Amino acid sequence: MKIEQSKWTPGEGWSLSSVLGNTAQLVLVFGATAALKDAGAIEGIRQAYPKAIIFGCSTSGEIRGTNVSDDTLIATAVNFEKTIVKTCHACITNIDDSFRTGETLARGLDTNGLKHVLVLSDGLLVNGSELTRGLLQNLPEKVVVTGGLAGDGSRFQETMVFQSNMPGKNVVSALGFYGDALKVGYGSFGGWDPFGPERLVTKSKGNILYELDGGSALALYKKYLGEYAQGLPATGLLFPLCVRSQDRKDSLVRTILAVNENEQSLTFAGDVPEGAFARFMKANFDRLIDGAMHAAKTALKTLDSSKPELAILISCVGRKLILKQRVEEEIEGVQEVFGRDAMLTGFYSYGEIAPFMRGAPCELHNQTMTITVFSEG
Amino acid sequence: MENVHSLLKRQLKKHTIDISALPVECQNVLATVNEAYHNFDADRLLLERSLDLSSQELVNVNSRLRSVFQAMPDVFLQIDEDMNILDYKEAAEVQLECQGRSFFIGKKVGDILGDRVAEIFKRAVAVVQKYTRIETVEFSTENKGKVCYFEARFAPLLGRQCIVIIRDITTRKQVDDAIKESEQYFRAIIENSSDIIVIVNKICVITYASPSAERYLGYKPEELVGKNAFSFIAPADIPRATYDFAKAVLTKEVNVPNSFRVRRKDGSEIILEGVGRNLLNDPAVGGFVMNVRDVTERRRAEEEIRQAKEQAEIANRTKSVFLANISHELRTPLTAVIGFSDLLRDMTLEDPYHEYVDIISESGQLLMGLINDVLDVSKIEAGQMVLEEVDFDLDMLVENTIRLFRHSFQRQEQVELVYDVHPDVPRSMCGDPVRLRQILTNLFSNALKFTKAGFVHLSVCNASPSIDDPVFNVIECRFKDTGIGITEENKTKIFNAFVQGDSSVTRRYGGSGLGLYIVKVLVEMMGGSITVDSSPGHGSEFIVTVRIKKSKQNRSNLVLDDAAGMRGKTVALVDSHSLAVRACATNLTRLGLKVVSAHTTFRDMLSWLKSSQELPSALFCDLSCPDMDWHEFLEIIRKEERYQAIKLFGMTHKIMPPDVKADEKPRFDGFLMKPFIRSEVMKCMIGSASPDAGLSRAAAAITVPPDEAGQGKKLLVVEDNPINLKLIKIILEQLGFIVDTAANGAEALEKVKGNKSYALILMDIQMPVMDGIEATKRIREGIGERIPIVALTAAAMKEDMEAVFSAGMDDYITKPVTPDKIKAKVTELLRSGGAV
Repeated sequence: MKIEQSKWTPGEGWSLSSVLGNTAQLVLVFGATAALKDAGAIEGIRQAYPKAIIFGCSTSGEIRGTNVSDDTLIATAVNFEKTIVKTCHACITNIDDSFRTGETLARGLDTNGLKHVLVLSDGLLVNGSELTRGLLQNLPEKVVVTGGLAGDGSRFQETMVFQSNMPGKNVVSALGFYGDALKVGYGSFGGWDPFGPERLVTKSKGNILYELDGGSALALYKKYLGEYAQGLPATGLLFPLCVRSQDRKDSLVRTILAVNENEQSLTFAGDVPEGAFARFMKANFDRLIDGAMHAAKTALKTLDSSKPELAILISCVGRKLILKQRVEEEIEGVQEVFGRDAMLTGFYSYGEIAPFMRGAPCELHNQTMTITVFSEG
Repeated sequence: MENVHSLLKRQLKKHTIDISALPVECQNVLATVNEAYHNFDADRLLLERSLDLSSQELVNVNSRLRSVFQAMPDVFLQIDEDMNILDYKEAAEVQLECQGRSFFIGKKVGDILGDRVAEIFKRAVAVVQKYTRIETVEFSTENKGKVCYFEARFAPLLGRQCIVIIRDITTRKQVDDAIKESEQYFRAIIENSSDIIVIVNKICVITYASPSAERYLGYKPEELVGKNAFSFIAPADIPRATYDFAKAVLTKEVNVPNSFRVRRKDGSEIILEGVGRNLLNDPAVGGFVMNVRDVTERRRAEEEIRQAKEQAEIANRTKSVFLANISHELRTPLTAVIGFSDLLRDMTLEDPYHEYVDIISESGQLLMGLINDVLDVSKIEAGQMVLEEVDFDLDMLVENTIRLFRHSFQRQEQVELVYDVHPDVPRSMCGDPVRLRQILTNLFSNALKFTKAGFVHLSVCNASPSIDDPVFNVIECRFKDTGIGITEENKTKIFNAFVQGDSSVTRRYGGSGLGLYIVKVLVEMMGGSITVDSSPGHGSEFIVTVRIKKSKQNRSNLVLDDAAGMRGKTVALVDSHSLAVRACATNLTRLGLKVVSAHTTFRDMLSWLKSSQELPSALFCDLSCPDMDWHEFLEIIRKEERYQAIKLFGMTHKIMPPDVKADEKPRFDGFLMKPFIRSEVMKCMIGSASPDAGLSRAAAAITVPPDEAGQGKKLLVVEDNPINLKLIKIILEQLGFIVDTAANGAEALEKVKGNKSYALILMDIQMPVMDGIEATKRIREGIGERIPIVALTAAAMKEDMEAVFSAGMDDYITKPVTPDKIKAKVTELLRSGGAV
């Protein structure tokens, strides 16, 4: 597996060191929405890697090695020795179609020899939980899905996903990995701590939450956010919800994607079912960084002692909002686990898709560091 | 650099660093540090506020929970899965073994509630942990023999703990038990009821049937429940049952009596009867409760009784009709016997033939009496005894009765017949004279039968409680005799039908034993009563009171009318019998005479006469006074010049004094038979005085010689019975009429058509070919409408009379006909100008 990375900035354009050229089968491109709209920038990649599948999305921050940048494009070209990649996409225009979109996408993939699926979705128009369910129900049981929801800085306005080598809106794309040589590891971990009373979800519909303990959920958020309430929905990421269903022991973390003042509702990236219990969560720098390392360790473990070559890090925008200047510490933590030989790329997202660990069902997560690691060795 | 964080300011100041003097790289680093300080503050602020807010929330939750805990009447235990009690909240309402928080905390459930309860708790906790749901169990504890029941609810807590809410349910248990017991009690009553209790819903499907159903219907309750009740009702009764049921449902009537036939399991039918209670709207029942019982046997028995009663009634009616018919049949020939023997009696016959005829006549009368009694009793029993209401003359009625019995007493010289009617008794009344006379006759004949010596005394007086009663007179008749008397025991018996005082009496005295019964019934029908005062050997007194209507026509002046000629005249009286002398005085007073002196011996009378200044206009002398021979007394009176104006009247028990010679007759101005009657007294008094213009028709009628009535007038007698026809013919011929006869209505019609000269027609009612009513109608329609027609009828019932009068008849004579009746009626009608 040969990998090379390039960076594009609005001021300087590409600093392409195109060695792989025609041999690259895949280029992973993560960048700001505005940058993706720069036709020249995209054309630059296509010219550099004319035979590669361009796969990527808009972000809330791009990862290149241990650096995190904003308003840039990061391209990571890959030449697999034995592995084959195929892509497909679907469009989504209504959040209620999330499950169906997942189904469509899964059916578009050739499942013969399918090893792993990487999925990138529009970050605003989708119920990640439903999408994941739709995908999983139509894929072979052993196939693991990882991925995430595209980001748009802390703006929550417009996200894009590549389809047919061009970024587009309202798109969900899948990348299939084929071949026995490829080893895929994955891990996902948050590191947030719940606090305060556990609240009963008394009114919700799918991923739209109305009431907690019979009171307005939006009002509760505003009360806790104080002056930060003006920054909703982005500042909602400061207090993710730890959601525990009544019939389940483990819990999921959910972050806010949108606010509807008229309905006094909050839209989350995934389901917040009625009857579930929810608690606010708070962050601690060290715990978040430990969490990222924990995810890396889990991924490494699932890789079965193979040498990690390429790692795609999808981390939640909420973590970036908290960590601020220290955001790169969690990337450095991951590199510490994988070693300097592993090529890191990825982005800050509006949601992550992965199983917590091997054997666990794939789910939509929030506020986690989700890592997919590849090796052909 | 703007917005320098206070801490950074402090640090720069401490090291006396001027930022602007620093190289650009250092300034950039300091700017980043400054931003980090601000971020840090903001983050801390956010977290602190979060902590404050959630603390406050927890405080609120805690206080709310505490209030809830305290308000709950339950014990709260917090336990872990190893049954350790972690927390405890007591409640006064729940008396667990020991109280006190410190006692509980740190102990195990088993230590306090025992291992048995701990085991129950353990299982409950396991369920709660496994299914994260609330689990409820019940347990009991026993303390000093007192059993308490508790309900424990387990709710999951975090950390594999449970909250246990314990409530004392002893009272509820007791109530439940009591309800269960009560339900069993009532169920037992219902299930053991001999009635069948069935509950049906609003579409008549059976929802409950008591076990007794099996006994009567053969179906077990479970075979009935769920089926439609109509499927058991006999087809013939279904329409009615459907109607009843629908009506009950629609009208919401609560109690609905019902009765229908039901088909048993073995196919036979029984009749069920009872009441349905509409409890469809009662949420506790929601049905129609039918409480029914088997009445098949009862219905059958009732039907049998009804039939038996009907048959008995038919038999009784048949008997009464038969008796009435046979009596009628017996009377017809008897009428002839009596009628002809009476004709013979009126002829002068040689002894002993006269006596023979008397015996025949009296036996006939006796037989007639018996037959009449039997007829009356059968009428009473058939409910056909009806009283008439006609105006009548009470004095005449009493005197006619007396006249009848005078003949009988004539031969019983030992017995004095005495009567008196008090002056205040109204003479004119409105009632049934025939039946009143029957009462008097029966009591007289009874007294006569049982009295061999002494007297029989009838006293009539006015017993009206108030003279103001505008409708009724109450008349009291006392019959006192010196007969054999009646024992106390027999006093009640004698008024029953077919009973005499005792059977020996029947043997000795004869009689049907019906007389007093009939009297009692008649008296009671007249709104009165009969009592008897008697003791054996001391005679008897029967006291009869009857209510009789006052006459509508004011005929109270009858007394004035017929006795006007002798009003105020003075009379004197001598009678050997002290009772009789008083009675005579009363009767004479009632006649308007003034009795100036009354004595029991001739000597007393003579001495009174001697001393008396004013002499009476008449002197009534009992010829049987023992102190002096009446011839001698007569001699003394007649000799004395002073006494010549006094009319002398002899009184005797005999019709004719045997030893009064024809030539001696003038020495008395007249003879009276004891006890005398009004018309005889008047005949004496007025006949001997100058005739008065005020003489009444009734009084005059008596004075007319019978033989002169006929005067050769032609009469037609219509009667199918040839013997009766002959009797009537003879009677009428003796009265001087020329008599033509016809055997039925049709013949009579022919005779009338052929001969219009009949002065009067006597017409029988019941005849073959054409009856009297029909014949009369034809006569009235045709030619003989002016001829008076008199009915001859056996019955004197009101409706019969109406038929008689509506057919156009003028009057009637009741059978049996006697010479007296015919004479009286015919002469009256002819005199009143019926035949002009």
